[in-house]
Amino acid sequence: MDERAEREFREYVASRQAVLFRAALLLTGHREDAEDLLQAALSRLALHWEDVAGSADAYVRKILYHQQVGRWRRRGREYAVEALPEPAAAPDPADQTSLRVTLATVLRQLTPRQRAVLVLRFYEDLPEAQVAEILGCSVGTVRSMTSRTLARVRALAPELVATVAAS
Amino acid sequence: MDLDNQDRLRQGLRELADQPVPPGLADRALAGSASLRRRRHVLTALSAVGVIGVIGASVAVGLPRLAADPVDPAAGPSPTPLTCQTATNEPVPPSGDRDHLPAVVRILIELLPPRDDYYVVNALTACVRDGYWVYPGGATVAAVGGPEVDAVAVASAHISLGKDRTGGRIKVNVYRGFSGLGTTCAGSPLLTAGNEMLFCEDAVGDRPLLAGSTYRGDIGVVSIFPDGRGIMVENNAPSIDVDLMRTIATDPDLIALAG
Repeated sequence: MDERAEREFREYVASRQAVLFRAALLLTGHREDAEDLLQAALSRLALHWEDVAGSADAYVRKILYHQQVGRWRRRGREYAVEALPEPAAAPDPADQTSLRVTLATVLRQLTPRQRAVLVLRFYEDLPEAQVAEILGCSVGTVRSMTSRTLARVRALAPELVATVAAS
Repeated sequence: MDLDNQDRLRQGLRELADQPVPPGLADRALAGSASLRRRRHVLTALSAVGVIGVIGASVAVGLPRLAADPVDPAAGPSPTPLTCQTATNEPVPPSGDRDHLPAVVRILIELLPPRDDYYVVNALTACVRDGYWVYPGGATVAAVGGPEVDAVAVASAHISLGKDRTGGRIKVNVYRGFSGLGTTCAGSPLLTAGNEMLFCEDAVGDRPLLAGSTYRGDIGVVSIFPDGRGIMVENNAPSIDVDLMRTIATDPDLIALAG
């Protein structure tokens, strides 16, 4: 990578690292694993930077989501029971903390593919077509996965719906 | 879930993810890409002489893909009620009172080489309440007595050696419902994953199947007992060798956490 490309890559990471890291955090459920996942994705992005600089976001997202789902397939279901994400530095009111803990617990019990759908649709707010492209499936599949995932969330934590409705 | 609740789900996810970004991501990614480039050159050279396929076919193995086969509830021992415990980001006292830490941490620390700077990154022990295994916080894991449809971790510990993992880290998960993987190496799903196998020993009598593999610099050792309980140990700390990982993966106190 020449000097100009490296400067561009660093600028890209600086501008996108917050949103990418937070998506990785929701996907993995743990800060250290999120760091590992994102670093691996960014390393591959850096390797192909000159070819994909124009569509870096789409490229790195595909790596991020595929790597996490693939990693789970290779290594077993341990990620479905990973520990809670570490708490944010600033203390929150009790109800918000409770909401976060409940959500973290629910995320732990979803498969990585269900997590991916939830994060893409409800954290990144991407349209179904874009989610389908990232996950390499049809829009219909995304729609049914979303529906099943929300049903699973509801089944795992009916109190989540009650909690958020009361807040 | 209606639209209003979906909005609140979005808000909850944003709050959950609202954490500081680690420093130096670009530097580490650039270093990582250089390493990938070097590895690619080596692989290209090896494939040119037809070695890769042979290596891949002969040593392909990895940590387990957990099966969805139901567990016969009569096959395993009855789970023992335990205290539901969790811990995040706290030092382990070198000696003395560790009662506040989850049982899985207390047992594990006794097995590890003595040092005064172990930290709990996170850990939890599930417990039995009203006929269900539940995690701290109340989420249901599985009904006591089954049927269990998949492996579930009832205890988990992630321990850092030195603050900020300067000496590495070790992760231990204790499972129920592992039995779908079988207890013999031949034909085991363990052999279908893509990691490099270190060893695999069949279960004999009460002794579990024991398998070890490496993946991205980590070493993994997994045990699968005939009754479906199991322990997975993952480690990158140089001071913890494979023999000690085997000891941890077969420790009677740790496996007892699964009932």
